[in-house]
Amino acid sequence: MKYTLNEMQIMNLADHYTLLYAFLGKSLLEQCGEKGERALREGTRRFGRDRAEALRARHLDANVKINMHSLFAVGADLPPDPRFKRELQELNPQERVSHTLYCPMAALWKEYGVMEIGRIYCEEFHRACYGHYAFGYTKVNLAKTQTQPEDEYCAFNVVLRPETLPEELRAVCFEEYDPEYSGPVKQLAQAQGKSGFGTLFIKLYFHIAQAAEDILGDMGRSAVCKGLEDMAEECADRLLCAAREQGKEMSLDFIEANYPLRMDMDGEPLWSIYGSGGWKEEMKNHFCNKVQRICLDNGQRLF
Amino acid sequence: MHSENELGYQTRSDGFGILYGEIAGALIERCGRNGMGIVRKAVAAYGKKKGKRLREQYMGSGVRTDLHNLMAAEDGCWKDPRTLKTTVRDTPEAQLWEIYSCPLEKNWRDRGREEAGRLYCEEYLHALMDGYGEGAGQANVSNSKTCRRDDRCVMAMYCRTANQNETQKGTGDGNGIIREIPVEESTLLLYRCFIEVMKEEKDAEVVAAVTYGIKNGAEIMAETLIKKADHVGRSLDEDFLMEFFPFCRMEELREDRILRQCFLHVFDECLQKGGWL
Repeated sequence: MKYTLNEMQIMNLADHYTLLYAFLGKSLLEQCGEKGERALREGTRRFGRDRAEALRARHLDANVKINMHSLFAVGADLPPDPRFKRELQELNPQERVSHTLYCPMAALWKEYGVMEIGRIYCEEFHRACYGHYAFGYTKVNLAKTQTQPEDEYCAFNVVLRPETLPEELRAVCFEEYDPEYSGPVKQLAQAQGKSGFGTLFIKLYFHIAQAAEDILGDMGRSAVCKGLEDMAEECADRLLCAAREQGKEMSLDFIEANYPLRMDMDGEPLWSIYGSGGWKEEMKNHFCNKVQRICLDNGQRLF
Repeated sequence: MHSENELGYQTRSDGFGILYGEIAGALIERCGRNGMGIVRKAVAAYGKKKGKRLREQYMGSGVRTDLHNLMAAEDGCWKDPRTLKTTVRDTPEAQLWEIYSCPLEKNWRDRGREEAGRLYCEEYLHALMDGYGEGAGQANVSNSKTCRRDDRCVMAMYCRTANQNETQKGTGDGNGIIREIPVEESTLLLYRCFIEVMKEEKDAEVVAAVTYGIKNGAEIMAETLIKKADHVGRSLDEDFLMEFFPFCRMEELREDRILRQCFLHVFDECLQKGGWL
């Protein structure tokens, strides 16, 4: 399949976001064993709850009902990826049933031989995010995922039933319980490209790193830093390869367009929230500086 | 083709389905959305208690409380010979399986209780896992035969040691005896969960719906038993009831006021017809 330049950039943004999970997860599991897995799972759940809370707050602010239709179809925080394929079977305020036929995240984890790490993501993220979004009352069913060797598709069945909600939440979630409801007060756009993946990247990094330190102390911090360093080398290779594919010279502008994280870290406002505990500095020292150095040195030689 | 033992088991299993279908059906029909909520609460309470009971049983006999051992006793359906199931993965931390023929689903579909069945499948496995895993672990029912869209059940459970604390991990070493909770105990437990939720509601319409459902269930069970005894050439006596009736310990009927009211007159007639009384 041929992609436009914009689509190629989006795919690169998505893949680097996906690899962040792989490298942090791999390092935690290799360095810290079962405790590392515990931290990765906990960090993934925190990430899920953070995204759920942010989306719920946006929905409430726009007077959008908190239900399954809104969760999956109103102002989603995951930017679209042109490779993603699915069969939607049901989407209404109570249910979202769909089969993911091609998941670029699972495909990349498989390519890197870390499907079991991807499996951890699938097991923890969706349940935490979808569950938390509707105040803990969502039932999340994901019995098949492409991160399991037995499965060729992902089987999502996510439901929120009004009769399981306390009385006071029914009107918050479903129009039919709110006779005065006048509809959303503003349109909410889906997250896109660089800013969308950049936000997810920083949140994912912070929550896994923080969970690693909370559970493992210095050993966790050290594993996270090792993961960042390993990722820097691979990331630089992929960026150099992408530059060749796109026929572009390696430059900071190229990195900006193809990597989810802003290399000018001080210009990124999210670090004021997610950079605490020294995590912004760790990212700068163990990842950003190294990527820039490798990319720009090799880029000059290549072009 | 089924053996006499299997026929008894199947009939007891049908009794569970009949009782649930009739109580849940009556609640949905008479109490609407509120009734659906009560059904869900009762199924959730039943699943959780059953999961806890299995866990306690395993802990008491030194069996490891992992998912392999859970599935050995309880896979969301019964050990009913009419169940057609494929196990996709069977490990202590993950269970993946599909069901193509489910006697409970057929029971509910044959008697127009599909909606009751759908609520059961949406709640049960999640609650069972919750009780068995003490909050660690997760159940997934991506497809179920009680849903109009689906032609099979697709289920998965995961319980990772990395997510468990020491209490949740349990103390068993896996060498004890694994035993399914008998259908008759499950039937009684389900019944009691409905009664508990009904009492909490303090709503006359709910009480009426539950009582109506039990009475209907009792009548259908009585008809089924009379027919079954005739088909297998047995007398409708205590031995037969012990094998085929899910409330086989008759003292349970006599001790419980509601059960006594709903079942005894039906079974008195049924037993008189069978020449036992």
